[in-house]
Amino acid sequence: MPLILKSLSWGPLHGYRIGRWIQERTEEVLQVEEGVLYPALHRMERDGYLTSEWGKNDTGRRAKFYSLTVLGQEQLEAETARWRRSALAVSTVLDATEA
Amino acid sequence: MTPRIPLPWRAARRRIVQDVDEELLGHIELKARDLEREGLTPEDALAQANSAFGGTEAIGLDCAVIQRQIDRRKRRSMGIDEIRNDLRWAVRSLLRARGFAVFAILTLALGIAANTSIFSVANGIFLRSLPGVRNPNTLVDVMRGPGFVSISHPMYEHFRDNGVALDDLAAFDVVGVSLGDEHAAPEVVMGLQVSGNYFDVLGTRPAEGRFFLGSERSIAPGPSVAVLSHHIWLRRFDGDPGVVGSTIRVNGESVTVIGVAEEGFSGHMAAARVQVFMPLGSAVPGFHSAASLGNVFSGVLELVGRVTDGADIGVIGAQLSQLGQSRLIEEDPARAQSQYLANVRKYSPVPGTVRGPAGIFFVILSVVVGLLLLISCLNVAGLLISRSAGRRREMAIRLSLGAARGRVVRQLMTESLVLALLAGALGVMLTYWITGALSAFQLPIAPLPGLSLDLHLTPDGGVLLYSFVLVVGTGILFGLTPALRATRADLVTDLKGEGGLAAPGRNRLQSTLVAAQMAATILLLTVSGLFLRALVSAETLDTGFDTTDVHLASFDLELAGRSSEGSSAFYSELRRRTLEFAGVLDATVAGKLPLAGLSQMAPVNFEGVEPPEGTSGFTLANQSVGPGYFSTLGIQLVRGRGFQDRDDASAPNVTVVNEALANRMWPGESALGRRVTLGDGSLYEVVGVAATIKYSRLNELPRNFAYFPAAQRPRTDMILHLKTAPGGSPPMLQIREAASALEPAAALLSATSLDAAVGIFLLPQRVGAWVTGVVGAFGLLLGGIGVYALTAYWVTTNTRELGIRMAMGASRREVLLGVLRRGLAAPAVGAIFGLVVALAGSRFLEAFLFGVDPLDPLTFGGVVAILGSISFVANLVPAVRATRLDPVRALRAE
Repeated sequence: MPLILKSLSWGPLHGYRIGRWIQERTEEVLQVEEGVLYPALHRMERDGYLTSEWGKNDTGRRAKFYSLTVLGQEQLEAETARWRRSALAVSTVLDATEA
Repeated sequence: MTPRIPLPWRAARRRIVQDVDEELLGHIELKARDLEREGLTPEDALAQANSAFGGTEAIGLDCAVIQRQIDRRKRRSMGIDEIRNDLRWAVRSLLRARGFAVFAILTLALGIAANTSIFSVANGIFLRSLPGVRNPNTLVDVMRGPGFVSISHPMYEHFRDNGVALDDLAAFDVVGVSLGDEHAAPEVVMGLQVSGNYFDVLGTRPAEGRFFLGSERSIAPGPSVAVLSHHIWLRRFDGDPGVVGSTIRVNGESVTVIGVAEEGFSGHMAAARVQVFMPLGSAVPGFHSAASLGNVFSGVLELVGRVTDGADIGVIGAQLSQLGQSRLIEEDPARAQSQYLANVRKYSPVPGTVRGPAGIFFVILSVVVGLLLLISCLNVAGLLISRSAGRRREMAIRLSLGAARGRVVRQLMTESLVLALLAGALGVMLTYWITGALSAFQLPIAPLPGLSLDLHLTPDGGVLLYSFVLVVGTGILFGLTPALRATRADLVTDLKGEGGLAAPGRNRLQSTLVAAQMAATILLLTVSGLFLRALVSAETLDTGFDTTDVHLASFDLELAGRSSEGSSAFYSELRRRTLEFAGVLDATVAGKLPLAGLSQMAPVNFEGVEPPEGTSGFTLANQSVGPGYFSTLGIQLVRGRGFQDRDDASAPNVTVVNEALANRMWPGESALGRRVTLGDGSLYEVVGVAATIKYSRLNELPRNFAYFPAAQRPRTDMILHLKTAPGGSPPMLQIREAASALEPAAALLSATSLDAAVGIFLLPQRVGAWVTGVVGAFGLLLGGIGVYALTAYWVTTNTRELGIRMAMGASRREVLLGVLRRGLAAPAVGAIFGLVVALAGSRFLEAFLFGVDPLDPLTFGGVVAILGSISFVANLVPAVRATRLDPVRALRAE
């Protein structure tokens, strides 16, 4: 979820672009499955983190563009901070040398 | 073929599925394109893109479910937003028109308060179930028909013990008792003499002690016992449980308290607060003695029974009639000529004898206040229409900007409902105040001394629900038509500001409103006018007797075991002694009070007069009175003399007849010296002719009546009448002492004034006149304002047309007449309609009108004259203004 939120922090994107963005940024490490992505998007829309608007994609088809709401913005910041804290904690443990 | 109804939620559902499909399809296309770029054939690319989804349907379904949740939430919050917006808009627009809002709210609040107040009273009397009376649905009231005749005790036992479909049957009779004990001064309260199973039948439980048991349930003489009401137990005995087993004094006799009834229970009759319950046959003065209860022909009791659930009341009635008839035949075949008829009805807290009239009375009052509310609604509707004229441009702009008509109507309706709810809140507050005042109000008259009515008028849940329905209905009634009308504006003319040529439809609506208002006002004023006339005529009615400064003390020597003959010396001596007391100007005794009902006897024959065809003589209303009767009551003696001390049992029999009788029996001749033969063959010589008075009802026609000397036709129960100096107080203590000196067992049953005793007969008129008078005054005010406002508005909207007419050369006179003719047409139609309804309906008031003709020309004429002049003035002012119009300016106006 933080990845989806992050992907939208530069502006509205439609579902396919969100998936591509995550794939590219993680250098193909994280493959976002469509079966997970779309229900997640819709759920986040329902919970008020995202809003949607219909626009046209590159092929000219009607496509649903998602963007962050204020709530989504706050959620992104909160999740980023939490991720950093736990990442730090994990790396502190892993890097520990016997004293 | 049935066309598929386009339901909005179906459409929304279809749209959601389409959207989700489209979104996923777009994804697949893009993915396939990217894969193609990586070098796959278009077919492979599409297949791979598709397969990545691993079942589009499942994902689509998930998404559609979530989308539907979103949709639902959105719609809900949009609805709330819309309502909030409408409310804000309504409040803002009402604040902008503060004068209108205040007037409308006050008008409607009055109408609503009047309605809820009347409903509260009706609710308190008719609808409220009485505490302590369980399962009232399976209770029945039993009386003897036709009408509501009391039933004798032997007959009651016969009914009770021969079962039929009655599970149980109780008997009761109301009695005023003087309740005393060693602690405090005696007070007069309402008592009930009941059969021993009274509480069992009703399902009432004791709060303390017990109810009647064993020998207490028989009318045979025994120690006297009583059950107190919870109310008086708290008030007079401080809720002390020790009162059970203690002795109190009832009508001077020692009585043991055996129990206290459950909280709230004060008998099974609405508005009556019974404080003491004692078994039938209690040896207490004023109660039916065991001996007097023994007569199967004397009706003294009312019955209340418990039936098996689902029992047919008609069948029970037939069975009881059968039982009654066979019992009478068994007793005395000669006296059982007419078929015995039992009147069995579903139990009602309102006793059968008053249920009908009281019900009609409340229906009349409800109609009156309903009319007031209708007039208020019409008034506000008229104002809204006038107001909407000023807002037509606003509406037109909103509609042309694409606002749906439904939305605009809803906004206008919100405004109306806000008005109605504010008015309703104010109205309910007023109702609390009014009913509070009513509950605390002590009736200025006393049917029996000390017996206050017990009314629970505080609005309860039912009343509040009624008010709410009334308020919402009111809001819709006055708001809907104007709202629909306002939004049906002609966009082009309204936007151009050409409000001058009013649409004919708008005028027709207004004419209808004016006519309806006129009709409602006429109806309302007719009813209040008739009640006022009835009150005036009843208050000023010459009853033929004078109640001023006449006081009453009633006795019954049967309680002391005396016979009728044995009582006459007591009464003549009591009268003689009373005359000697200071402040007593005159005194007499009589068997009955005027207006308290008639005693009739038959057959009676008059010298030289043939009895009516097929009978052996006339039926004659009569009563026994003592010497001084005519002077004490101020009844004029037209000829001859009244009774004197010498007209005793040993003197020749004499009688005084009234003028009506004398004129009918011996027209053109003197009645004096004529002889009257009673059914038992005794002869009475007419020695005087008294003026005809009102004997049983204020609105009765002159009826035949004869008086007999109390000494020659004696009775055990008589009422001492004494006239004091103006404002003087009667020497009741001395009278009580004198009575006990003459007969130690003689008990003063009640003491009151003749004014008070007769006043009860005027109560419905007083209440009716008061309520309808106040309501009628408001109705007149509102109706007047409504007719004026609507007419004036009509003229204003027609300014342009009038300008054209004057420009075309119409004279002022023609314009004036034209305005008047058109302005008065609607009120005239309404007036005719209202009059027709009033003329047809006024006969329902007849029972309350005390001799005033329901078609009273003065009332109808007055109402028409008042409303006619109001509509005339309401038309004249704007009409005159119209003639002063400068045609050019009128044309250019707006």
